[in-house]
Amino acid sequence: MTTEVSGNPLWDGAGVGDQLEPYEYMITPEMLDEYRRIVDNPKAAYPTVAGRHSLRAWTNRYGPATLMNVGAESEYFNPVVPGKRIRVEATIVGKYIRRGKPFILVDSVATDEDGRMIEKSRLVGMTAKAEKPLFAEVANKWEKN
Amino acid sequence: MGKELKVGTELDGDSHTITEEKLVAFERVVWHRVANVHSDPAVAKKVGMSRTIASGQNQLAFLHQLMESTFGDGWIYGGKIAARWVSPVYVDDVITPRALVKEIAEQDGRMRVHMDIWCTNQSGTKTALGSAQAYLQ
Repeated sequence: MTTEVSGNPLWDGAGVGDQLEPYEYMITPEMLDEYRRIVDNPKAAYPTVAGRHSLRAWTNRYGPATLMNVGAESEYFNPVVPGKRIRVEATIVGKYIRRGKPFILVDSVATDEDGRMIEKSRLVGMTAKAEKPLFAEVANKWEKN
Repeated sequence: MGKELKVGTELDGDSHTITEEKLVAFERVVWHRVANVHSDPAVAKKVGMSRTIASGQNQLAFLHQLMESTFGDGWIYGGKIAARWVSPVYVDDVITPRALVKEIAEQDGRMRVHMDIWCTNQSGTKTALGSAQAYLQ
């Protein structure tokens, strides 16, 4: 379902089916070690959790603090090999209004330079209502409790 | 995997204390993000938050730890997870990932475990909710 959110150019501009610009990056052995330290998991196989592929692809086009991660769905195929380049391709796959809040779904697929599938991920993102900054709505809800 | 799994089995992961240093580091380690509500108190205050909050992905990482320690390669090659962030996580909170086995069914000639998953803080409040699947080894 697609519904207009008056005055929000991001919502109005983002079309279901739009492909976001692909990008590439690399996770070095040092980055993997640091990730494992940060999350208290010496065997963590998917430092891509911190890479937020779908959100990064969105941010590359629309800028930071334009979509809030309210949920994530991921499927994992092969662990990251440090030193191999990772290519991310992402697509806007859904827009809907729930309880008056505008949500956008972004799917991404990550493969490494050898063509190994790393993961498929979906970002459940909430964008701001036109009159409020991003995060203001959850801040209001959470800080009251 | 040290525990025999059956429907109704509950799994508890390691508890993780949230620190300011790790919140900031998480925002930089793989994708070096600009200052945001997870890493900068000033940005958090600007949108009405009293302090920084941990990102949902941080909780996802803790859920990964539970899945990896329980299923090993059965998670790494073919794991699936869906989660929503339902309560804020702040510095000094202690977050524990948990799971409940709902179903064990054959898929592609292997046994696949379907679970409800969640995280709790030190007060027992659920901070993340969702589901996960992994293969038995």
